[in-house]
Parts: sequence; C-alpha cells; structure tokens
Amino acid sequence: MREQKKDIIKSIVVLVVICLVTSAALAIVNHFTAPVSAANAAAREEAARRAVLPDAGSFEKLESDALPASVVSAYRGLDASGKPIGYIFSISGKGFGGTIQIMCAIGPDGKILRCQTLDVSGETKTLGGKTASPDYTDQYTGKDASLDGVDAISGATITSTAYKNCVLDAFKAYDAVKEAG
Amino acid sequence: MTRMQNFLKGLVKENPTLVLVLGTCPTLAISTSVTAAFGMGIAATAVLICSNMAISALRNTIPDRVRIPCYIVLVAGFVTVVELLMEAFAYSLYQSLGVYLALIVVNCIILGRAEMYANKHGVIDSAIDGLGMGLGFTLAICSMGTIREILGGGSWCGIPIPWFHENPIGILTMAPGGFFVFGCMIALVNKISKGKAIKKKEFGCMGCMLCEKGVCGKEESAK
Repeated sequence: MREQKKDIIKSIVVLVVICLVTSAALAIVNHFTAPVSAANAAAREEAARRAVLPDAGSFEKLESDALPASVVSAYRGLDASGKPIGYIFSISGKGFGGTIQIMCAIGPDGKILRCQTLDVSGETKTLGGKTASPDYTDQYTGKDASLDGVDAISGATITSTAYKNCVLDAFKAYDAVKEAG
Repeated sequence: MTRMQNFLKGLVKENPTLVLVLGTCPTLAISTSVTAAFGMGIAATAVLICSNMAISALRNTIPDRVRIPCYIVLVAGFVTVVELLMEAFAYSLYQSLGVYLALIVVNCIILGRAEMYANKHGVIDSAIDGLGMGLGFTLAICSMGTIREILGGGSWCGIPIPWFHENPIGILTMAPGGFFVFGCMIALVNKISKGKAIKKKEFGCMGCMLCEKGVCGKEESAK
C-alpha cells in the first residue's frame, strides 16, 4: 500500500516538474520570437496595403462596430495632402479547405481599385488556389457592388463563391464606413 | 548494431513512412509541394532528435504509468518551439504547413520512436536514431512531393516545368491522388526489398510493450 502511494506521488511530481520546465522554456523562446513575429506581421500588412493602393501616402486605421464580422481590418488610404483616396478592407471567409483571406481596395466612387488574395493556402492548389493568380483577381478591378462579369473558376465553385462573398462584405463595410463619414 | 547501421536503418530498411507506415497524415497532406514537404521533414526531424534525446535522458526518471503524458508534454514543447521560430523567421513555410506543423505533436513517428527506441537506449544512440528516422521521413515525403508536384501541379519547388505545366493531373494534388501515390511507393519499396521490409518482427505484435509483459495473450499465436 505504502509502495503504491509512493509511486503515485512520484508520478505526479515528475509530470508536474516536466510541465513546469517545458512551459518555462516556451515562455523564454516566446519572449525572443514574439517581437520579431509581430514586426513581420505588421510589415506584411503594410506591404499588402501598399500593393492594393500604391498611390496612398499614409494609412489610417478605421474602427467601427458597424463593420461585418468577416472584416479583419479596415483602413483609409490618404494621399499626400490628407485627402481620402480609397478604403482598404481585409476580409476572411470560409473556403473549401479552410479560411481564405483577401484584401480589397475600394475607391471613393464605390468601384474596386484592386483585389488581392492574402491567403488561400487551405485550397486545392490547381483549383481554388488559382484565386491567388492575377488572372482571377484582376477581373474585380473597376467593378461595383453588383460584381457583374466576374467569372468563377471552373472546378472551384466553393472557393470562387467564398471569394465573391468576401468582396461583397467589403462593399458592406465600405457602406458602413461611408455612412460613418 | 553499429551507430552507422543505426543511422542508416531509418533511411532505408526501416523507413518510418514507407516501411513502418507511420506519420501518414502529414505525408499525405503536405506532399503536394516539394518545398513544404522539405520544411515539414526538417521540422519533424528537429523535433524527433530533441524529443528522443530528452526522453532518453529522462528514461530512468519518468515513471512507467505516466510516460505517455510526459512524452506528449516534451514533444509538444519542442513542437511549439519550432512553431514559434518558424513564425518569426520562415513565415511563408509556417503558412504553407498550417495546422500540420502543430500536429507533429501527435505524429506517430515521434511517439513510436520514443516508445520503441528512446526509452530503452542512451542519449547519443537515441539522437542518431532520431536523425536517421527523421531523414528517412524527409526523404519519403520529399520524393512523394516531387511526384505529386511534377505530375499534379506541373512544377518542382515552384519552378514550372515545360509540358507538365500545360498538362497537370489535378487529382494528384488532392487527397485521392495522395493515397494513390503513397500506395504506389509502398508497393515499389516492397518490390525492391522483395517483401522483406514489412515482415520485420520488431514492428509486429511482438514489438508491442504489452507483449513483453505477456498481457494481450496473442504472443503464442504470433510465434
């Protein structure tokens, strides 16, 4: 009986010590990598915003409760004199194999300036993955909220529909921020 | 067994993926592109070496009854370290591996080696075993990635290949194609080794921990 008790206590102590040591080690590693990761993520976002709205001099983050839930972030692009020249929304949606994320710039006239695919790594490369190619994204340029004439990718209906819904959400967000001024 | 043999067995004779058929999930999921497959292989190898060494070093400390939770915690720790490093320094690879990076924790190869090798052998031997097995896994997943990416996507490491690029066999990059290529490769390995590879006793019922203690009752029929 006493032997068994000793066994149980030893098991508990060993497991607890291993857990504590492991979490301490992780905390140390995280302490060093977290700032690098955060800086990288900010730089990537900034680069993506520059790509969809190259003419903007600076970006201003928009915070609003009226934005659709799928909107990850919203920015207003300002030119050198501080006049708004477009709105940038990054939106996530549910694709075929996982979450897709796109970035969409809409001009003050309500037409798309540029759409860009941020992440479709969950999709089948040869089908839904084609939504990342300029052949697909370029057809959104100049479209209004009706999205007339945007062709889906054959064989990738689910990804194409998800993509379109993301763009439509961008328009909803656009209306919301326009109303808010 | 010399250390060289110990190292080489993971590469060919006891290749974890194609002979022991362990770690099938990441193999099928990640082998759609060679670069991602290579990254996965290296990440798994790093975790395997570290976890083998840690488990081997602690093999006399860890009580038998809580060994599996202990192994999982250790492996999860190493995987998270790899994950954090990759997110900071190799983001595109981190993105293409997605959830499968975290799933290295429950990769059968790692737990399998912990159970079958590291908890019975010394630290250096375990490290060599981990290196051999990890490279064996990398080799298998990369060759599968090569076949699937060239035939299914028409490129290699993202470089388009003439002719194949215009005529991709799309299904090979999807799950059914993965199983198909995987099956063909196992068949090929068995053909080359004349069927000897799968008949290794160590990995049958006899290699199981329960059997050594005579618990499951199958040992008679297995003999």
